[in-house]
Order: sequence, then C-alpha cells, then structure tokens
Amino acid sequence: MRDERAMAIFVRAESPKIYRCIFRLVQDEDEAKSLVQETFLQALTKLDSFRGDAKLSTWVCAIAINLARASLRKKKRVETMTEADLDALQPHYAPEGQSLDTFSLWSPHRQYEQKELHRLLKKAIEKLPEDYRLAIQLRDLEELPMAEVAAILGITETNLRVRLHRARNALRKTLDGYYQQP
Amino acid sequence: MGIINNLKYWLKLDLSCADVDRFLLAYLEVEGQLEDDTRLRFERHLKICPNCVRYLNQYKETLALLQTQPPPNPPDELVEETLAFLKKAL
Repeated sequence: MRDERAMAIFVRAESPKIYRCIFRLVQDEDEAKSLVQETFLQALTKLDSFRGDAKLSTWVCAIAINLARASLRKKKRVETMTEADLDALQPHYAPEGQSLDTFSLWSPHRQYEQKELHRLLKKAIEKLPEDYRLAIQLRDLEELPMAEVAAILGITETNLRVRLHRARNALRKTLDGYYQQP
Repeated sequence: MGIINNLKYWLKLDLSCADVDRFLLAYLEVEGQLEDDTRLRFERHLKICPNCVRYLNQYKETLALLQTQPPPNPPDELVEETLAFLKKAL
C-alpha cells in the first residue's frame, strides 16, 4: 500500500478501533498512540505476507494486539486472577446438574449508580487474566463478531466461547457483590 | 457433566440447571447458535426454575453494563500524527 491516498483512507478508517483495542490493554494514551503508529508501520511493511484468509482489518488488529501484549510484558502489571480464582467465581452444580448457588434478584439500578457500576466493572476487567480480558474487550466492549475475535486471538470459536463465559461469570459475580451490599 | 446427564440430554429429557449454564452463551447470541429443540427445552427449564431465571437476568445485566461501558476516545491528533509518522518511516 505505497499509494499514499489509499494508505490515508485505511489509516483514517481503522485507527480509532486499533487505538481503542490497544488503549484498553495498555491504559496509557502516549503508549497507545505510539503502538498505533508501530502497528500500521508493521502492517504496511509486511503487507506481502497478508494471506487474505481474514479481513485486512482483522489482520491489522491482530498485529496491534500482539504489540500491546509485548508492551505489557515489559511493564509491571496489576496482579491478575489465576484460573483457580476464576473457578471460584463460576456457578457450581451438583453431579445431577442442580444449581448449588442461590441467585438473587438484582434491583434495577438508578442512573447515578450506572457510573459506579461501570467503574467497578472496569476494575474487575483489569483483574482478569490477559486471555480472558482480551476476549471481553474485543467481543463485549468492541462488539466485534465472534469469528473475527477468534481470528485475532488465534483460537477457535469454541475456545473463545469458553473464555467469554468464564470471564462474564467472574464479572457477574463481582457485580453481585455490589448488589448484595446493604 | 456426568455420563447420566449427557444421556438425559441426548434422550431429550428436561434440561438441568447445569445444561442451562452450558447453553446460556449460545442462547443469548444473536446469530442463533442454539438448535430450535434445545432452545425450547432451555425455555421450558426457565419456566420451572426461578433460580435459573435470576441467573440469566444477572448474566444479561452484566452484558448490558459491558456494552454501555464508555469507550476510550482516540485523541484528535491520532490520525494526522500516524500518517506523518508513516510518511517519514516508509
């Protein structure tokens, strides 16, 4: 894509999404901006290796996610949950399949509570293990189609569904704590 | 899920709470991942199990809150700075 006009159209169209994906991971505006630039540079210089079996935007997003993950590895991060922590936040069932949990009715939240719930959720997402956090960020926050998220993360759709379900249940349980407060 | 539960499922007996959990994500997907027969059995379970209804509602509310989470706004200069960077680098 050495055609400058085509490059500008592509960058204008894709950079907001790429920025949001990166920012949600690195949580730093300058770092995210720099990684957006690096993403497009890598994409344009490696364009010959794009096989066309996914959309170009999916391929670029995968480059962005890889760069953001590499950047995160260099930094000290918030301590995240382990698989065992996640297990504890899942619903539990008897061998015959009956639920062992009693789920309570969440009262409808008021407008002013929405902000608090979003803050709580943001913190809880940050605590998720990276693979789970990415699944939530791309599917539920960025609302990308399942197939595209699976392609970006390099996993099957079945694996993606398992990750999403476990992550959503961990977040649900966190919110449940808020609703159970007196 | 044990062998008996798998057998009950394949014999098209009623779904258990654990089955509801297993099919929940597919049930909520717009793309209609769940077969009609399983969807009917899923909904039949909900009619007799208020605990699973509350679980489903909590799950849906969590999704709704995720989908209304304010997105990070890209800075105004992002596109122009990226284009200037690329022109220089390429």
